[in-house]
Amino acid sequence: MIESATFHVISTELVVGSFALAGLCFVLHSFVSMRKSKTQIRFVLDATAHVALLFGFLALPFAILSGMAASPSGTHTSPLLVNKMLLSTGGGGLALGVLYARWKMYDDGSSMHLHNAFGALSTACMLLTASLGGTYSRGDSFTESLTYVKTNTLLMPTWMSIAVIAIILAALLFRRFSAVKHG
Amino acid sequence: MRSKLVLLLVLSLLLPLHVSGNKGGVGNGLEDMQCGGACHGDANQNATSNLQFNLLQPESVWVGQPTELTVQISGFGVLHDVDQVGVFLLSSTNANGDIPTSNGWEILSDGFGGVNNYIEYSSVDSPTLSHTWILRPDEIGQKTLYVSVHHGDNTGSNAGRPFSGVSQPFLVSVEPIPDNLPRLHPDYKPPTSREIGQTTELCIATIDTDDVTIEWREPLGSTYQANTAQAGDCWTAELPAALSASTLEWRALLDGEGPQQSTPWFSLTSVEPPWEADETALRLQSIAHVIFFFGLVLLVRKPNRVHEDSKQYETSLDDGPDFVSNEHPPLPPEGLPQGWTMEDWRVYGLDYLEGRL
Repeated sequence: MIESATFHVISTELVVGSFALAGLCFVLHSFVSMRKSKTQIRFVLDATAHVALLFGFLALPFAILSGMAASPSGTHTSPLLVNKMLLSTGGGGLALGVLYARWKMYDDGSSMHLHNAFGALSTACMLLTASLGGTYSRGDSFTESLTYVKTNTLLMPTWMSIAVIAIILAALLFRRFSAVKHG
Repeated sequence: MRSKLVLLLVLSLLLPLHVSGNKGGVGNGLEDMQCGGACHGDANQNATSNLQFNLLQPESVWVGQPTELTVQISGFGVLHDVDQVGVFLLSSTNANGDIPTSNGWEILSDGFGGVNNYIEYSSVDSPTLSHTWILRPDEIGQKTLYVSVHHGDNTGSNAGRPFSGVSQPFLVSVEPIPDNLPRLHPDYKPPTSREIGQTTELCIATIDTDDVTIEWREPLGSTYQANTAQAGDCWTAELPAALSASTLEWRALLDGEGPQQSTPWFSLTSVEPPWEADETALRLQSIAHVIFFFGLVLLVRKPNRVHEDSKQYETSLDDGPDFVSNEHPPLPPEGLPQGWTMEDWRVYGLDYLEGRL
């Protein structure tokens, strides 16, 4: 039987590799779009970014759950693990939003760069999460200088999390209702 | 452009080769010897450590009884200029499965409040480093132990490279327990750590023992006796609380029909209470993060209908009166509405004519 820690390493590498490819393609897509209007490379970069992001997003739950199982005392016992959890879910939310927006709302116009920026930001979240994992397991990583994330975390009270969820869902529903009414 | 891209890619590939060893250490843990070569960095970068090793052991090592094993490593500041050093106690050098617990030993104390075979010192102040483990053998016979280190070096031709070294084998002869020897119960496990401010209630199970005396001290400090009483199957004593992060040592003197025995000095480390967050709040915030960032991506974008509306509007313009070429809708017979400019009429005139304003 494969151990949780081993499975976490495998799934994490899938997530990080996929997100890194997606992030690179998002950035290049914006650069290419600024120089040339309609080219084949734009289409390839756009497709690659979103397929890689989708693959990484599908592997993300396995990485998070195996990471939780691999921590003997639980993710809530270390600020660094808490920050990893929050960063990975934040990056996951961004990725989900980018994928949904590409599917339902894609506009090859002014919002394209914003779309790419969100995609790149989700990659940044995942890479930072992975780097924190290096700090946790090896005591050394590119983010070694970020001492704040090792000892502090911005944990909200329960009621505030519920309020955030309610507000965002309400805003999304309102927007949908508004779009139907005037559309 | 292409040559710059190739140059960037080559530099990106070369960058990791110049990352030195794991300067932050990996923390105390149960580690195979393999970690001495690979955890620290690329195994191909390792240089051989010249540090000298010794293992001190008691005259008699009884099966099932705690045994004090002291590792001595010498040559710091002379052979190597070292900041941080990691020390292994190993039962083989196979680089796999060579933790003592894999070869008939139980680690009762690593001296740092844990039960690890690998410990790290963040600095070494003297030429010789001594560190003590408390182990318990579970079978009779000859056993082999090794000491291994990995560290860096601040000076010399190999400065900045990771160093790895391993000792010659040290033989430990595990003997059967003599009859009537006062001793600890083979299942007894001494506590290794506690929180600051907590007293520790010892409950020591023994065999062939008529009386027990508990002594405690600060490392290398004066020795004090704790009040000991027998309660059922164990001897109880209370060790005082620590006021700050520190280590207290204690041992038991066992009297019975056989010769008096003293256990090794067991280390009891006092640490800050562990950091802990509300698990429910964390999980809820994780869900909130997913929803918040998902919503953020969607909410900051213009909705599709704007785009579609503008297309519909453009289409309607194509089908409607041709005022675009005239730059504004036709003026009503009474002229511009009061207060309007031609610019206003150019933008909102159609809405005015169709009764939307």
